[in-house]
Amino acid sequence: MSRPDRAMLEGLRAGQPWAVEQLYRDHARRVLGWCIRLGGPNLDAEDLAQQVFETAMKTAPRFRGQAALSTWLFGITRNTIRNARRRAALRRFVGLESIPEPPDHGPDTEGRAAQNQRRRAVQAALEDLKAPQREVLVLADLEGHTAPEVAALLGIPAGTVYSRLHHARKAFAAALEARGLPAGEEPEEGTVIPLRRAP
Amino acid sequence: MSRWPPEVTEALEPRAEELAGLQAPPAPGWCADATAPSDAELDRLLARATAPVRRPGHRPAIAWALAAALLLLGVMHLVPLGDTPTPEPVATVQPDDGLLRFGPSITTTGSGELQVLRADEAGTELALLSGRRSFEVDPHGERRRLKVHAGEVVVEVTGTRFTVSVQEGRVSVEVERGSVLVHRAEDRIVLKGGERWSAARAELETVVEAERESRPTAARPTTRPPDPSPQRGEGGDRVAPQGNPPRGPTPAEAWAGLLGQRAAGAEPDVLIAGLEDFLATHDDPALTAEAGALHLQLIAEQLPGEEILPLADAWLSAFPGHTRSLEIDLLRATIAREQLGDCALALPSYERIAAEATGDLRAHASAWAEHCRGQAG
Repeated sequence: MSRPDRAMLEGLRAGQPWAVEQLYRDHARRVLGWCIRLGGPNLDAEDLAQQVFETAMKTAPRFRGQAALSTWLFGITRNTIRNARRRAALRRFVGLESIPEPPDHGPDTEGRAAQNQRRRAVQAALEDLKAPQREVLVLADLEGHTAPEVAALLGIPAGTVYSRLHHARKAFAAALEARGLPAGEEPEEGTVIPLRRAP
Repeated sequence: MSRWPPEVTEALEPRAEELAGLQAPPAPGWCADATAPSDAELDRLLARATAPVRRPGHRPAIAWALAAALLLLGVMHLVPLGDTPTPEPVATVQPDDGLLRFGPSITTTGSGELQVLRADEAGTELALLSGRRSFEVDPHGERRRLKVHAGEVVVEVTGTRFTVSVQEGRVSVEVERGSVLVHRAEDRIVLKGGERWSAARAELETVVEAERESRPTAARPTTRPPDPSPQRGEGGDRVAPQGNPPRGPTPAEAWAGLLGQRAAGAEPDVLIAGLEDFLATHDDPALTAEAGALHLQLIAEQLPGEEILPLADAWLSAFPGHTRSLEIDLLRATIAREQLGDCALALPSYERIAAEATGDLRAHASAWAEHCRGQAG
C-alpha cells in the first residue's frame, strides 16, 4: 500500500473528514463503475456505491492494510452487491415488490434516454453471465485491467482468470447477439435496443 | 540458455485454456462506454461524501456521546457547540403559516414555529422552535441544501421527505424517503426512509444508567454485529438521573410492539433496529432469546455468512435446548454449507437437528449429515 493510501487509512480510522473526502475523490469513479456493471439493471448504482463507502468508513479500523486499498474496496463492493441482490431477490420472491426501475436522476432528454437504454441493455446482457464470469469480464474487458490485476482483485490464480474470461467473452457475445446488439461495434445512433432476449 | 530446468519453464508456459481466453474476442468497447459512470453521477456521489456515520441500530453505542451532550445542555447558551455556529435568525414564521417554500426545491408544511436562520444561494437553514413540521426537498432541484436545527439536534438534508418535531421536551426525526444526517454535538447518525429517531432528556439518562450498570457483568451474547467504531464517552462522568424518568414499556409490551410491527409488514431494517433496541434495553431471558433468534434470522439476509456463524454459535451456547435452537441450527448449517461451502462446519448442526427434530426436517438433516460425514471422510 502506498504511503498516501496508508495516511488516508489512518485518517479514516480516526474519523477524519479529509480522509473521507479523499476516499470518495480517489475511488468514487471506480466504485460507481463496479456498481453499474456488476450490480445489474435492477439496483441503484449510486445507492450501492454510497453503501460501499459507508461500509468502508465503518470497517476501516479492522482493515490492516495488507492488500491494496482498491482490492479492499472491491471486496466491500462485491459483498454489498451480493447482499443487495439477495435482498432484492428475497423481496421479489415473497412478493413484496416487483423489479423496480432504477431511478433516472437526470433531465429527460432524448440523448440521455438513449444513453440510459444502451446502458441497461449492456447491464442486462451482463446479467446473463454467471457472477464469476461477469466479474472477470467487467474487470478485464470493460475496465481494462491486466490478468494479474484481475487475479489480485478477485483473489484467484491468473490461469483461472484466463479460463473464466474465455467463457465469459463467448457468453457475453451470445447475450449481446440474442438482443440483436452488435458484439463488435457500436450500435448505430437511434437503434432501438431491446432490454430482453429476442424470443 | 535458461537457468531453470525444462520442467520449470514448461510449467510456466501458458496453458491451452489461457491461450483460448486470449483468442476469444474481447467485449466491444462501446459496452465499456455505455456503462461508464457519467460526470453527473459522479458529482452526485461526491456530494454524498460524509464523515463516518453510525447506523440507527447502534443507538446504545451513541448513548454515551449523547449523555455528554446532555451535560453540556446547561451551558449551551453560553458556549456554542461545534465549529459552525448557528446564525442569527432573520425571520420567524408563526405556527399558522402552513405551507412555506424556500427557494425552488424546499417546501414545508405543519404547525411548528420556525425561525429562518439563512435562506440564500448557499442553502437554507431553519430552526424549529416548537411543534411539528414536515419538509420536502427535491433531490434534483437547485439550492436544495437544507439544515434544520431542533434544539441541540441538527438535521442535514440534500433531498428527501422527513418530519421534525419538538414537543414536550422531546425531539423526533422521522424520514419518509431518502436519507438525512442527524447530528448532535460531535455525534452523527444517518436515518433512511422508514426510520425514526427520537430523544428526550430523561429517557437518555435512563439508557445511560442501564449501560453503565450492565458494564461490569459478563457480556451477554446478543446477535448484534460488532461495531468497529470507537466507543465515545466511555470515560465520561456519570450522569445522575434527575427526577423520576417516565416508565418505559415492560419487556412484554415492547416485544408485543415488535411482533405487531412484524405482522404489519415492517421493513427488515426497521425490525432489526427495533430488535437491537429491545436487546439493549431489556433483560428478560425468555424474550431475549426470542428477540436474538429473530434478529439473527433477519440479519442473516444482510450480512456475509462468516459474520453470521459466530453470532449463531453464541446464541446456541447461550440458550441451549431453546425451542428456537432447531431454526438457528438450520440457519447455521445452511450458511456453512451453501455460502461458505464448508460441509464439515455444517455437520454439528445437522447432527443436532437429526437428533432432536421429527418428520421431514429430521430426514433432511440426517441426509445432509450423512453427506457431510462422507465428504469429511
